[in-house]
Amino acid sequence: MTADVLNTVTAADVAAPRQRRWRGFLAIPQGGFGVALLLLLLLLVVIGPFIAPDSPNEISDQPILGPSAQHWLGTDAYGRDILSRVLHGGASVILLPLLAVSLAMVVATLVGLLSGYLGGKVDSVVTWVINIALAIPSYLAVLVVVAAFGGGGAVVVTAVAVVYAPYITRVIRSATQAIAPREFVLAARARGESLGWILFREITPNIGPTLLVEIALRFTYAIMFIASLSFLGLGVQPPSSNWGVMVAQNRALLLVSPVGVLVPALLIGVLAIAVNLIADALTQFFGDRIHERLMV
Amino acid sequence: MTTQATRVPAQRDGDLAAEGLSVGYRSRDGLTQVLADVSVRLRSGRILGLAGESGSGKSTLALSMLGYRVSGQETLAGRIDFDGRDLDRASIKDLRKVWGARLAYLPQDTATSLNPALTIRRHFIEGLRRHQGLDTEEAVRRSVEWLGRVEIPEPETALHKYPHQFSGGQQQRIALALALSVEPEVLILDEPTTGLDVVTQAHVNRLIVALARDAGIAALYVSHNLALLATVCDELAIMYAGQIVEQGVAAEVYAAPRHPYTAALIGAVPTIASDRALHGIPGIPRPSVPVHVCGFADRCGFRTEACDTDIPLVTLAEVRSARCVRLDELPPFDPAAEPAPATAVARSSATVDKDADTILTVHRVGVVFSRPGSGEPFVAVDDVSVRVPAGRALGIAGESGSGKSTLLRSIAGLVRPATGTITYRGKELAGLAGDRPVALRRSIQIVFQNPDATLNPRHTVYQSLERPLKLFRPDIARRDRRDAVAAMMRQVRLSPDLLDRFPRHLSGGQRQRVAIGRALLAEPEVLLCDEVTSALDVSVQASILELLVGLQADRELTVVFVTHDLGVLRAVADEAIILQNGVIRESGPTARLLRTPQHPYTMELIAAVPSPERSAEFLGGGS
Ligand SMILES: Nc1ncnc2c1ncn2[C@@H]1O[C@H](COP(=O)(O)OP(=O)(O)OP(=O)(O)O)[C@@H](O)[C@H]1O
Ligand code: SF4
Ligand SMILES: [Mg+2]
Repeated sequence: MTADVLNTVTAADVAAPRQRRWRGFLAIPQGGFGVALLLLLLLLVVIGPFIAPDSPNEISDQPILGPSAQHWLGTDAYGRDILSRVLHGGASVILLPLLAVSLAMVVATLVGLLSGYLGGKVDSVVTWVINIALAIPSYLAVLVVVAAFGGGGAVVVTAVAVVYAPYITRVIRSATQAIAPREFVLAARARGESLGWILFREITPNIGPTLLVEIALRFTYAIMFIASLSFLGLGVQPPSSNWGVMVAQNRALLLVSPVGVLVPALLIGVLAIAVNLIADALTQFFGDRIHERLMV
Repeated sequence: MTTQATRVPAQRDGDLAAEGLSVGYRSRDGLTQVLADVSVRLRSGRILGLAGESGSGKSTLALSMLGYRVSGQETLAGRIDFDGRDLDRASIKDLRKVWGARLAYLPQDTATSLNPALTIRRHFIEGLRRHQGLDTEEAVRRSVEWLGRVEIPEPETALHKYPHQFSGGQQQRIALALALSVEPEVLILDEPTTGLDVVTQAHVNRLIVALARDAGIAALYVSHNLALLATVCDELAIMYAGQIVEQGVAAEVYAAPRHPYTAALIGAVPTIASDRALHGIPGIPRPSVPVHVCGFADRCGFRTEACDTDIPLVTLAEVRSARCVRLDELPPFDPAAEPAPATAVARSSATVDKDADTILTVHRVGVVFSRPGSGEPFVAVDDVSVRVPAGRALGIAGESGSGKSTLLRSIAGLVRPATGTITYRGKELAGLAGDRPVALRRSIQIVFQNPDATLNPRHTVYQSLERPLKLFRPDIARRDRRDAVAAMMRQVRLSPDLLDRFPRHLSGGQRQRVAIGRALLAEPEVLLCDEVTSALDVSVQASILELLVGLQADRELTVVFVTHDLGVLRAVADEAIILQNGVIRESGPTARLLRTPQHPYTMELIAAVPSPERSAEFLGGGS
């Protein structure tokens, strides 16, 4: 039927999908720079243990040396090679915050989605709990927990996750509330879709950008937070070569051999900055796109 | 640039004219021309209507005529003449002197014309002092007078309020008063009533016409609603792909269009006056100005080889011109008498089967919401009873907030009625869809209003369409799903090669087609439609309605169609109910209801429908 041919819209009539999304992200200066920095650091952390000249805890009889050909960054009070310790000590600096944020994220996403979508009594209870939790200062809460249960990776990770979860829940809840009344969600309800489908297949993909930005931001905070706990002796414990622990242990030698403090401190700073730059770039990137996609 | 729109009478002070205007937008991809050789003249005391589908360049022309340029905009040829001066080349300093003083602008969105942080008084005083040199006392007196003229209650009190303390219609009237209070010579209106309710729309339009004529203002009225323009304007210009394709006295253009596009556009406008068939315009508008071909060629049913050239605007009479090579051969079109093709939307009472079974019964249903903030109850639907006969189309009409959508949503199981029952083929339906057995959910499907939200932006077209098959069609094997979905795409006149696209790659009309396809894939018996065309262009609306009516007949569907547009109601519904404040005011066969309304509210709604045939009545009514 000719009328059909005339009426039918084909792919040639509509704009072709644009593919280069991630290139667009990297084109944002903060994005490209942040990703490059992070990749460099990850490279250092991953291949570090293999290229380290010595084992991190090998005690020698040459304590407190300045940089030399044999010990590029010198040695610490126990005569351990600082370069080797730096090369070994990055993994926990990245992993612990990552674990803490992932844990918080899983819980917060579940609670935030449920409370934002279901509303009513569930939402009132969740909001009430969040408001109380947010009133307690984070450092104080974590210090109390760590004091009660002792330091160490597992306790710190759990404590940080618990403290961050309410913040993330609040963000996810309001993002969910913005999506829930949209017509495609109504259509899913009218079809009788399960709660799981509506939350994870209809709503979650649309709050993905918000989630990603939140992950990046929280990750920045968690890196600094856990590093400072380790510095205070509440997080990762010596003799670990965690950069936070190194800063704490070597600070007594600051005047004699500053590299022992400066290098790990600098690396923590660069890591936090890299992630923060990425968070910034994500906000920019999705800011435009969220607008375009949801036409809000 | 060689042709003139109309033979223009001698130039006068206060006339604003575009002369051979060509405009383009520059972007990274190069220059896109959006206006080509446009000549229009606004004359004192007269309103020129500018019509066209979205993207045709209407707003660009409106803003250009004010000398306003957005970034990237370039004038390629022509000028904007105002008092012998070229506004297009005027300095910002000079433009500021005429803007808001001699040239006034009223956009659709009052957010642009009213500052939410300022009282109404501040809005008026500032302009009147600056442009009219009035002292404060005199300016206040003048503002009160103007607020009275646009029928704002208690003007003295209103002066001390902020914009958000008024309803949308009131805000638009205040913006109108503000624009007119400085006694401008020219008024540019860009879809000034599009966001408003039908009844309010009619009211604001009456005011615009009365005040502009009174003050001898030269006005340009931009709208996609041709029937409205033909009702309120003196002259009409039809724009397509950046060119004026026809121009003339409004009533003449509407009654006897000469250009095939004008005829098609008029054929797409739903009307309450007759059973005239509605036709969509096949194809989609071209995004930029045509080169060496008629802009309308790929959608025109009269195209010949002669059309593959630059088409000049031909002057047909004193004030009548058209841009088509076949004007000599083609007689003027008669929109009222056009024969209806098989697919066109045409409903007549003859098709109504008197003894149809009742498929849905809504019995004394009430829906109550709690008001946000205060929490006090608010009755959105009040004791409504309706019987929907099987295989027929029931329309629900009423103004905004009348409870139409809420009633429909309670049938769909999206809001739980506080009282009453809804039965489907004698079985009572649970309040929420999730509690209904799967067979019932399958039988009742709903399509929504907003093309931007009806599909999940993160799902491909295929993913959206596959869902109902998974849930409701165990008879279709997994490997056959893609074929079933592709077949449905063809039924809603989309090509299956769009299946892997995301909604953002589709136009509003295309998304609505996908949404209709999604509902139909469940093979429902009842299709609920909530304002499914109200966000679309007239031509797209017509093609969607055409599709719906065709599908309804083919599949013997029962359709419940919510709309605020009585013309659409007439086009799709056999029977209708009129809702006001959640209460049914009147019901009956649509044609009879619209011809001989019994309830004053129905009469008020009908009077608010712009109708070129009853222009004088429309403009005189209500005041
Ligand atoms: N979830 C809700 N909570 C509170 N009030 C609501 C809710 N949904 C609708 N209403 C109110 O119910 C009334 C009827 O709304 P409804 O959406 O049914 O109107 P409508 O006739 O479809 O209007 P429109 O043409 O603007 O879509 C309105 O006053 C609206 O403000
Ligand atoms: S010029 Fe040709 S293609 Fe264009 S409107 Fe006229 S007949 Fe149709
Ligand atoms: Mg509605």
